[in-house]
Amino acid sequence: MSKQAQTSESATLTRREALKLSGLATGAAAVGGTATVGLGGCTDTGPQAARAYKGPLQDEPLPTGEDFLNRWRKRWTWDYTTRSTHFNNCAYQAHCAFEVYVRDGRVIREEQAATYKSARKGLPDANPRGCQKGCGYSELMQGPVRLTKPLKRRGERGAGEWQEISWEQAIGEIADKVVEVLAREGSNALVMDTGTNALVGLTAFGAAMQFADATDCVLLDINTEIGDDMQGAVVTYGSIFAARSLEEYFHSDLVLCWSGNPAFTQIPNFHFLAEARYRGTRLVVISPDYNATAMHADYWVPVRPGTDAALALALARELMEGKRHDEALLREQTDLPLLVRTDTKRFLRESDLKQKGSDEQLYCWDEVRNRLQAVSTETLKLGDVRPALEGRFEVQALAGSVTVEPVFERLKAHVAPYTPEAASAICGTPAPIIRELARMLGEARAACNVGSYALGKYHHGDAMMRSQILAFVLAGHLGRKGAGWASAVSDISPDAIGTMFGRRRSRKATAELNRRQWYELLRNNFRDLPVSRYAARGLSEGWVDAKVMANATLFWNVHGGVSEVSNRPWGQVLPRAPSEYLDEALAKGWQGLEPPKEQTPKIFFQVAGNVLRRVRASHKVREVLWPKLELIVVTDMRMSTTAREADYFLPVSGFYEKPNVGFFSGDMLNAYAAAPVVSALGVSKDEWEIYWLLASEIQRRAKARGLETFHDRHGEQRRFGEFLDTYTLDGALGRQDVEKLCKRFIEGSSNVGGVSWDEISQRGYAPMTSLGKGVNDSDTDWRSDETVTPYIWHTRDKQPWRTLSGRVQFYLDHPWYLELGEELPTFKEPPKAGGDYPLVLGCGHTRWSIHALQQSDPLMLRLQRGEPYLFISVEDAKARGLADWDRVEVFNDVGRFRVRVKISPAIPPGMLMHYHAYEDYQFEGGAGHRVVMASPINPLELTGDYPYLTTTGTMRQPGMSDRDTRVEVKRLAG
Amino acid sequence: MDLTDHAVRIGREIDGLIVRPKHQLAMVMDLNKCIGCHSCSVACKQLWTGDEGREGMWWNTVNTMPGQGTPKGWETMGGGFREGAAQPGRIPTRNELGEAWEFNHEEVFFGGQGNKVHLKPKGTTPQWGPNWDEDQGGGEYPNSFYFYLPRICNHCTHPACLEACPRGAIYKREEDGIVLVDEDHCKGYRFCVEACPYKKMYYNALQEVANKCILCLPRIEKGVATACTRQCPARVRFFGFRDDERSAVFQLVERWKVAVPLHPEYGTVPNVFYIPPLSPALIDEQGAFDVKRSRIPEDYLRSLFGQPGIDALEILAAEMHKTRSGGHSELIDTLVSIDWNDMLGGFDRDPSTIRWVKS
Repeated sequence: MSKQAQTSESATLTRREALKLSGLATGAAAVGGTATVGLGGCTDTGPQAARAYKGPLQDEPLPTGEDFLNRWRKRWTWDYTTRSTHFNNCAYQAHCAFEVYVRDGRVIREEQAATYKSARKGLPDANPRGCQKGCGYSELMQGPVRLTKPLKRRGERGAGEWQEISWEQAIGEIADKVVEVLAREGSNALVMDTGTNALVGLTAFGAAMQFADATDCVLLDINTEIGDDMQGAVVTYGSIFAARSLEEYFHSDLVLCWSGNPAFTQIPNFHFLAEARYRGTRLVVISPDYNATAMHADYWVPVRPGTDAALALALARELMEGKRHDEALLREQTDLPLLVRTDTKRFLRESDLKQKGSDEQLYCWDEVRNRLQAVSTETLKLGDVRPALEGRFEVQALAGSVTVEPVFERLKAHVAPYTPEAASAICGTPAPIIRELARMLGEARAACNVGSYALGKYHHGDAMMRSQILAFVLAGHLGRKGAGWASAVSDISPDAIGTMFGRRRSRKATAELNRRQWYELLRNNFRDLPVSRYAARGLSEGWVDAKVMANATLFWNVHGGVSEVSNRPWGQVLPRAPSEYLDEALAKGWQGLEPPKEQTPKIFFQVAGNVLRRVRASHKVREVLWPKLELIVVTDMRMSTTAREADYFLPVSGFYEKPNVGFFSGDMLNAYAAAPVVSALGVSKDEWEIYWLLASEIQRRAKARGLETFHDRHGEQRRFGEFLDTYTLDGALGRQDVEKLCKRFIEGSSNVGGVSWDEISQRGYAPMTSLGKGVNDSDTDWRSDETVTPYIWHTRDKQPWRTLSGRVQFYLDHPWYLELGEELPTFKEPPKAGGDYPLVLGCGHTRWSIHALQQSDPLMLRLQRGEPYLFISVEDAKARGLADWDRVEVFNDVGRFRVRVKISPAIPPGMLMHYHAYEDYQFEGGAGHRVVMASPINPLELTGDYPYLTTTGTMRQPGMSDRDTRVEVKRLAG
Repeated sequence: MDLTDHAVRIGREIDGLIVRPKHQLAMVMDLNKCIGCHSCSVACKQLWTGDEGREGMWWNTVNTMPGQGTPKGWETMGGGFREGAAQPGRIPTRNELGEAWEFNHEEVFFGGQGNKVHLKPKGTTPQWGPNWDEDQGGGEYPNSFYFYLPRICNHCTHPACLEACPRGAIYKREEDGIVLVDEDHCKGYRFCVEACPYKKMYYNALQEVANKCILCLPRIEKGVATACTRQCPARVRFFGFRDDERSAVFQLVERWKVAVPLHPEYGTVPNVFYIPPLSPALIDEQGAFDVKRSRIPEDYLRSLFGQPGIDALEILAAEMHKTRSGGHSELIDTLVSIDWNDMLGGFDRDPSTIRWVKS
């Protein structure tokens, strides 16, 4: 027995002494038995040693006897348990180590492993991470939603007429079609969507990436489409990512949960918030609805949906007015002292002052020397320079004398109208509360936010986010322990992820990008940075040309027909028609459209995703794109909305049925892995094998038909004969090698503490030990026994931020920002997306499902109402003569759907709340709530040709939105 | 049956005096951590009530308060004791309890009817269920309020179910105070269902016996905390013996008196205790925060937890004031529990370390 096991065992024994109090006959026997084993009776070094992470197995007699007590006792017995987890995309809350209990070859239940050690000094441990969805996964796995046989459509798409077919038939027919289309039209005719669940499980992700590499198909980049785009963070900080471990709350004396509902979306994490509050942190929740998070707050601040920017600007004004802003921080870390020309509203640049001057050298006014001072792009250290925040200065430019003023001066004027009273008239938050909130934020020692993806789902989410960051930074909360606004979830992952897959794509990309990399290397003189960061930054300069991935929002708009509803102003007064912005951005190459407009997509592969459920206005996709598709293949473990509309359904083995790795460490910074608990149900297969079979069959059938080559997306010839080699990483991974794939990934990662595959797959997880070599935008150091505080390299080491100014940038002088009046963080009236209707359709992640995965599972539905519902306020229900559980039609100019209502005083008048991710087939008539969403594109999300405001993977691409959807509801009979 | 034996089994002397168990297991639920996720409900369902005859039972429920709860309107159904006298109660109807809906997946996926059918519970549209009024709550916007109330059997010191059973089939274990239905003796008369004021006794129509929470007795015997405790990711539940001074349960109930029973007026003397809910500052008529008045009306809290509930909140607020002023509080240390195992009162054995062997 290992030393570790001995220690943990004797520690538990002490606590168990309490049991002796009971004098329980059987209990006492159990303790006695434990003691014998734990204190030296065990000499087993085989399987026991491997289980050191949780202590040795202890024998207990199986209950016998037929009396009622023994009948109960028998229910709690099993043959064996195995560690596993659920590789769904829980984002912040991913993942949780579970023990899966098996009897007679069948999974009977699961229970949290709960063996996490406290990871950070003096802070609570993470036990027992899990949630109701994880605790009930075995129901989903073995219940009526689960499908385990390949299916072929018989009737019309969506008719619910299927034929069970063999794998041979399915793979053969699909391969034939792929060969035919590839040979005829090339790679551009194939589109693959790796949905949200592929993003965390290596089997799906690896298979999809490799299949995409072999076919060179269009691979959709969905991050901005789903609304996780964090547009405000990327323009202000330069990146959307910032790892901040959850326990940072304990270092804050004020936490603002401003948008988001972590009581729903961070179930395993929530206790840290509650515990931090007990230990002295004040929690403020700002949201339109009183929700499960709000109930745990010290203060709940109501705000009208979509108006948070007005509230934030009022806070900014109060902070500045009350001189509660942190001048030293602003001078050093932000662009607020940088000079802007009053005539052009653009930054004063070297090119204004000198012939052949740089467009990227910006200036401040040194109060010490009373002169213009070029700001360093090498360091944020000010030395003896004291940049002015206020004032107006005359500068001799090439074109003559120009007036310049610091951004701060412009900001002061910009926020001046946002008195608490004026802001209150917009955002509905009472003025006294705005003042109080500003006071709290200004006086807090360390204030942080709760990361959330909610703001990305608003049309003006970027402005809301920029304004929030402004309020935090003005008050001095940036890059300190427990302090600062951080966008969302950690991007710390086992670092092999960046190098293992999609090699042909990345080779191609690298070739396209090298010409720009010198620029990046010069511009970013950061110390100790892994080379991959430069590569990643280089990528951003050539993303469109390199065709690495294709923005999904543009794909659905142009090819999917969504632009029929999105491409209207929807109540906004814009200088130009929305389509002009899109056309210009495409024409200038700021954004890429794949496939090109003239290429009709013919084949669609859906891996671990559900586009018809996911995409806003997906009914247009069904109407416009679907009929053009000659082949739709869905690989999934259950019947989704998209699977229902597919031609072939290929059954994927579930989380307990295959080796897998999660490559997303979540906010608790653990890597997860699992070995199979039981064999795959039915004839389901892991994704690696499914796509291996397809790759192999495509190669074989092409050869049989005498077809040798096809055109890839770069217009170059590719050989069908290379198909399988490309898929298998040059033969490194065979058909059954999914475990080898996982092993390579874990053992090839430098930041999982050198854990072996055997060890991590038995334990289920391993703590991340460093930030790793991958792309990491947190700009911080991290010792694994400390919390992660992002942005320390800037605040402590004075390294420039990766923005144009090298500072936290609040002023954006891109022509479109100026044209739309959004050069500073601004409040804009939300569009009336869907038409001028009185009710705002609020959305949010439900507590009952991770995306749609568990949403049609009977176990979860029995704890809801069995059918979809919509929350409505007491007032709005009354005005429409609605009683609780009435059927209603929800409608606007885009579409209509039917649902039942739940009436609650927690919902503000004028708002509906519809938690997302019901499948369309759960709604009467098969139309879900996506059918009323217009999702207009915000032109600012299309911008390019400006240092750092360029598209790249997962960010700086246009996103979709839904939180501004306007509807009316009317009662239906029955 | 021998009369003395009967007296021991029902936990009462023949003259009506309560026989107290040697030790009493107890649970504390911290409502300031509960997020209504129902991991407890699912954990219990998966372990004990997933089989035929018990599908509709939720020994563990979580309800949004104020609300009608599970079964619908349970607080108005009577039972329990007043001044020691048993009170009439009624049996909840199937509709009030809600049923385990079966769904038409097969028809929707494979019925060939396209969008003419949608996924829904089979039969008539349900009108109630175990979590029907989730997140509805009370108050008036923006002074809306609600909180989550998880409930299991209270394993009462003076169990109304036990007293009501003419068969003597319900008993309170001497060694730990767990209240059990001896299903081998139960005849399914359901007097216990009437009598329990918390409506945590259920009728199994298939086996024609009463079923209830067994406080995970098979786990307890092996040193493992109940599933609802051990599987609560929000760390709401503390478990242990009430007289074990080292247990968090003792600390919270006996020492700090921040954990109080629900509806003490029901007279059954529960052994499940609650740390009553704090709530965000009220918004007054001028639109300012009023931290002096409770957003959850005090009268409502008093109706649930009595005056001890109000007192508990004051104690809690005083201790939280200490930590907010940079001080230290032993109560807060217990509530936070840096080591999760400290919440389990010694019942912290990892169940997966058990290997069952034929005896």
